[in-house]
Amino acid sequence: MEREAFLERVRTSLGSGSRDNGAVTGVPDFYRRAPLDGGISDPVDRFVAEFEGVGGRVIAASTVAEASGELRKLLAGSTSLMAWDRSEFAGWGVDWLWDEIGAKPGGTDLACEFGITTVDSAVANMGSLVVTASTTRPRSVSLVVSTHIALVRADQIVDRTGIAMEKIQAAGETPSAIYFITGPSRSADIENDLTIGVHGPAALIVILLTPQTSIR
Amino acid sequence: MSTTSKFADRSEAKLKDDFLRSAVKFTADRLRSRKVESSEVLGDWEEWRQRGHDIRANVVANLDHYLDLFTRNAANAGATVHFAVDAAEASTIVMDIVKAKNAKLVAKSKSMVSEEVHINHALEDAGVECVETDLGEWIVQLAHETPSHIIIPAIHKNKAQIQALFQKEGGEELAPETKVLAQFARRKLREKFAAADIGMTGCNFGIADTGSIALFSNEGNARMVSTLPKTHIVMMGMERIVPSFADLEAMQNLLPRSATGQKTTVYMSVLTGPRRAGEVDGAEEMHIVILDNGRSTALADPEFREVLNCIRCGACLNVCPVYRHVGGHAYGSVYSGPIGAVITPLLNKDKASAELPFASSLCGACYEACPVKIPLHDLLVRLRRRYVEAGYAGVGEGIAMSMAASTLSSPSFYQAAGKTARWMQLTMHVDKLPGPAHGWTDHRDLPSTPKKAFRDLWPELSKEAKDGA
Repeated sequence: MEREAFLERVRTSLGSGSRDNGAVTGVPDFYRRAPLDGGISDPVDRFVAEFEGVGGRVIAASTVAEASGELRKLLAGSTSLMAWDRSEFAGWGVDWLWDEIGAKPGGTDLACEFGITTVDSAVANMGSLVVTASTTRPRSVSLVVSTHIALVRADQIVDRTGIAMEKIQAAGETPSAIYFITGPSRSADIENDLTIGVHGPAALIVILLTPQTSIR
Repeated sequence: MSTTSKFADRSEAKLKDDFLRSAVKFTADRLRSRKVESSEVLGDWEEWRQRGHDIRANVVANLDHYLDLFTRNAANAGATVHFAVDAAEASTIVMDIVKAKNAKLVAKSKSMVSEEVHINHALEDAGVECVETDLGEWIVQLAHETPSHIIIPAIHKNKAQIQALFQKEGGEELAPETKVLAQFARRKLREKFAAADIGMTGCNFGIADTGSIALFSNEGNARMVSTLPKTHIVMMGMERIVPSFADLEAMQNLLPRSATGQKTTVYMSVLTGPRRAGEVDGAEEMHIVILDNGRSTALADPEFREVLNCIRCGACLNVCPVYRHVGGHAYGSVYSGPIGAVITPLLNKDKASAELPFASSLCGACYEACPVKIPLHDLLVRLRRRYVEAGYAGVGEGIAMSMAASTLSSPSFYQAAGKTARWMQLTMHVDKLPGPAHGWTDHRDLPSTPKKAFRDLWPELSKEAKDGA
């Protein structure tokens, strides 16, 4: 059916009754004011607790050099690796990913072992990573690999999903894809038995650059 | 309705299937108790429900405006938007895309609307392979069956049955272990993701402000089918819109908690148009098929408009004593449980659908569970009244009597009715009292006194059925 005819049918069905439903927007005010209630109140500690609670792993690093070293350890010599564009890793000191290992720019290698990304932000009270798509951020890097490793700075952690969305919208045009990733891929479809890594990555690891020392 | 046999016959057959009954009950219990736990942690669940209701009610009351906005913005983002007045037209639209792309393989992630449209049959008839990639949906597809639960489609299958299905599919020996079976699915379905010409998804929410579609999934197959194939088709009910990203945040807090008790699903994907210039992956074309299929009839009916507020979480199924006893197949329709009993007869004007509203104890547990406060028990009564007025009375009595027979022949039904419905309401109510809250888990195994047992409701039910006769 043509667009206008379809919309006209909807208009007719609605009739001429009152349209005012006292429209409200978004989450309740008490949640907006105190999104970390009901758990740890420090956003970084909260993120770590929530992220590990859904099966993610956090490795803390207090310097960029330490973070780079932890990444090398995780890869353990593997060259089966895809990563976002080098320009996305400014300041992380991980040029060796391309210069030494030859990281691929995403794509359709469904047997690839590791995918390395940074993040737009991370959500403390859900334990989510927020990644968007762009010319330098291929979607497949956080999707088709067995292990997704994300490099996150503590100052990228926000309290709740809405703040992450506002940041994205404030930055300009809505990206073609925004993914909130909360733990490794999971399914309970076989006899309610939880299993990890059905389609997406089976392991999700954050290397967290933080001056805090309370995290391991 | 995909089958002509009566609810009574189908439910009797299901009652004899012990594995199904215990699996449905176990799953429903598990999902329900997790929902209670996770919504309590969130704080003031009642205010959240009210917010969910207000957002959805506003969209539905102004659906012309939000549909206009959503479709305009989706088109501006590069999506092609199609409008289907009924299932047949939606099917034609999809098949035209399939032909234009000369597609041989369509990989699907879970979509209730695609089931409403029976797109799998249309594809098969045209010789196009169509693969469900949600693990549970794939199991059901390999068994040539239909889903028995909206969230866990294959709860009626045990490991040995799944092992047999997978061995037949792969021609290899597999151990009857979850991990082994899931790894087989991962391997096999990756071949399908890579080879598919078209990926098909549903749409949990369309966002009017941006023309985006939001998809919630745990396995990652919705991401796969919207990323790897060149063409992405989105199947969307016309009411499934929220105004803004801010409202999506509210829904993110309501939907996964109500569905599985998770704070959020593993993946929440927000897609705005297809791949853009210079991007190296993602579908090159995005088609959004917006389906009416009887929804405008519900919209025009003030008594039933609220059913369009539904966000398809399945919480009403998990608390429904009838659903818990007979499972989803007995409803013989795409949507089962209390929401199915309301929505099916509104979408299908046939007599077989008319019997579904009678397959309910009217205990109200569905309303208490609903994250957007749809008064499902009221809607069921209104439907019954209309059928009685229209002379469909015999249908109701038949169902009522078969329910009575089930009740009398099965002591566990007393427990089901009492424990699920009233107990849950009582628990939630008590927890709102001041003072130290007792953990749900401390109490879950304790026996309870239902506020009103099913057997107490029965005289009213039977009277109602008789009055209708």
